[in-house]
Amino acid sequence: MNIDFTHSNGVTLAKLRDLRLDAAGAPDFKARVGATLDGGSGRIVLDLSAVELVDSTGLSAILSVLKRLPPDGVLALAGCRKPVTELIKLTRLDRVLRLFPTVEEAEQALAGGSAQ
Amino acid sequence: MSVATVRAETALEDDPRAALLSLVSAEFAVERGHPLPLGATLRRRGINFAVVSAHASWVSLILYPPGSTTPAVELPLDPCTNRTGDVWHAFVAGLDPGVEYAFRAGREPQEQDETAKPETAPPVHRFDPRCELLDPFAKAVAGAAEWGGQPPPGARIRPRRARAVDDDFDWEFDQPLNRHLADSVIYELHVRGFTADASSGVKSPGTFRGLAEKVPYLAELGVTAIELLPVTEFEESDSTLLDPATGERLRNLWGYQPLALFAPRSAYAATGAAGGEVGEFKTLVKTCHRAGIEVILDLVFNHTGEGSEAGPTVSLRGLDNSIYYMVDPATGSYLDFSGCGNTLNCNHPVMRNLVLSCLRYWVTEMHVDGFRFDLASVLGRGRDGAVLSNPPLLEMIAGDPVLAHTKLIAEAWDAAGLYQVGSFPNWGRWAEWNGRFRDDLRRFLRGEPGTTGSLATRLAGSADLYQGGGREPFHSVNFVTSHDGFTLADLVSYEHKHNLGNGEQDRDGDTNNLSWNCGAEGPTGDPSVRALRSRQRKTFLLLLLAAQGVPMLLAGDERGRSQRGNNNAYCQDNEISWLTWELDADAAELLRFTRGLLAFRRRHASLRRRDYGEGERWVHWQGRLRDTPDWSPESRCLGMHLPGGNEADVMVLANSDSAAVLCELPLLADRHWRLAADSAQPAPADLSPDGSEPLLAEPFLYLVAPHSAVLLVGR
Repeated sequence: MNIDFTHSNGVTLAKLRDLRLDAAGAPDFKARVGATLDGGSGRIVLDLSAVELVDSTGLSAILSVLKRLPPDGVLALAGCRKPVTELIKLTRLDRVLRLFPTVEEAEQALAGGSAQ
Repeated sequence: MSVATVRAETALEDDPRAALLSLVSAEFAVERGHPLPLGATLRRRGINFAVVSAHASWVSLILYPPGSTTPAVELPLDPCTNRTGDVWHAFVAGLDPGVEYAFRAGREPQEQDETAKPETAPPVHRFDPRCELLDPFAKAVAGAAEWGGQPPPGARIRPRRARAVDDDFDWEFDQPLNRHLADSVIYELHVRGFTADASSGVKSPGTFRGLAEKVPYLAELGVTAIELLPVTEFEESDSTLLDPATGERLRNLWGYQPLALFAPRSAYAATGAAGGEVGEFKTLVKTCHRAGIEVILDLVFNHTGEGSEAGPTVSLRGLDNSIYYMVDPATGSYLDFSGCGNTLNCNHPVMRNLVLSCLRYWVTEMHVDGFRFDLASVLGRGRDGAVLSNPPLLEMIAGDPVLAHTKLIAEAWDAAGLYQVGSFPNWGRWAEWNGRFRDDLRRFLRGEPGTTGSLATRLAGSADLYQGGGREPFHSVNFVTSHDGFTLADLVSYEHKHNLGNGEQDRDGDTNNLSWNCGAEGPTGDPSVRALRSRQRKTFLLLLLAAQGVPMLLAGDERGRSQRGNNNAYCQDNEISWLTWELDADAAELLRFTRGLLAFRRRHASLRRRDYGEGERWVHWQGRLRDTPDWSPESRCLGMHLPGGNEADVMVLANSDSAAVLCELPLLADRHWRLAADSAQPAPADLSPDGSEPLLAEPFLYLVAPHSAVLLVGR
């Protein structure tokens, strides 16, 4: 799984470079994104703008990261394409995850510490 | 439900993230999973979910935090990876027992049969993507743990969710008792009605736990099995009928409208709100078994509570209508052989598997001893409703190795006129509710002419119905009353049904009751009528408990329970159908009489024959005169002598005439006739306890009073 990590203003940005987040990449995704929580701020923005498809396994990997967040942590999804947004709505996870149209907006929201 | 629980739920409903996170662990993952077993199966790392739908093009799995009506997450199943054949499945790692779940299923328009024109194609599929569907294999069901709770506005029934439950239970060394059917006496009861009345004195009225508290009473009575009216999940609050007296909605309390066939009705558990119904049911079974009492379930496989096309979509209809139900391919409407709006497609392989899995679950996991199959003739119909000569489902059940010692009792008819009493496909395994026994005894005891011969046939084990084909007398379950129809007290007190309270202007219920009110309709102060009724009740009980076959008593008949002439009390969730535990002198006398008869039956194996005794003359008939049967139409007197061999002789005398009959008794060598029971004698002479049966005044003569029956023992 190709993921680029960058850190700024206490926010970790994880950019997924693969087209799919599914059974093939999910374990790696869980392990590597989860590892950034160790000693990190617990503020993560997932840049999904390159991802065309997330399946149930991919979703569960995202939820697994959510589960491991510290109490004041935040997980934001940025740049989701239409099929991914639809899936998140269908699975009712739009009530749980924070979605932003762009990475900039997500980083801005999280950097301000307004984690809801 | 405690205040704390309510608060916790409210908090979860308000905070979707907390709700979701409460459900999953960090190990949360959705994997491919396994197609079998169907339903929710607890594994070490999580839970496997599997459900059948051949015609859905998509299925999703919905997860709810325990006790919450709001889904936490809905996981679409991948039609490639999460599907094997027609089974949709997923393994969800990091889920704990107690999680609640449902399915959602749909069929995309482009995947409809291309040959069918949409505007003319009959709607054989009834997918409804709005509906959250109950798993047909749900072992526990949440959402309606409160008895009588009301459905939300606009809904016919309360929404349910399946609950993934842990099987853990300390059974110790318990197992089904495997008592021989020939040695059984069945007691038919309704879990709620049995102890709901305050007079029951139990701590948890109307529940499995309450019933368990009454097991000592049942053991003392002397029955060997309880047969429970349906205990699988159903909705009692689905009736639109009103009680004409109070204007309140009636409750459909019997339970013949199942929603989930593996799940005990949560409202029947004192601990149902906390999800404890499975364990509580197991405790009931264990308690019964310790007292030597078997548990037989009345299961409904002929239709479901989803009702007609206009009914609520709860489970099977939304999962795969055309597989689970009999659908007319020309119109898309249901074939109705159950009288309840739909008919389960019992001989479709998928449905057969569901039925067999269900029976095995109740036997292996719940330790149930037997089943009574409601409208069992439906199970012998093919997919188009045609009556099959060798129905695959019935054969599978008859020959299933796991069920080899399980009691199988058919209600051998259906609501579409198929009547198979004596001819139910049986493979030498299936017993039947013997409706002919009920009718012939009633005819005789109301004094109809020409009924002595049929009485004899019934007392001797209904060989006309069950001999041949590998069946024996014990395949006849004999009864004179059941939940359907008059109670015993009403059978001798009412000429006509009195069902106005059911809200249908007395149109419901059977009009052919073959009853006799003994001279007045309903309650009366006339001492002669009351005395005659008391005698008639005892006469019925004596003949029922002295007959070859398996007797079945209706709960409360041993203590004179009346339904005030209501012969269809399915909706009377009140003192009409509840058993009252106060014991007046009249009830106490009848109870003592019944106990005594049951003890007599236990002691005398000649009443519990295991075969028809080919070539052996084990029964001698007579009328008034010794050795001289009288089968004439005028005859109202019958004597049945069972020579005892090494054991005591037994003699039954019955007289349905309004005049007494002086009967000659069979001559015995070295033995003397003694009086065990006489329904016409005032208590306590009506029943002589074991071993203290008095010698007759005249050794070989007995005066059989009008409308009475006598039980003699020769030793």
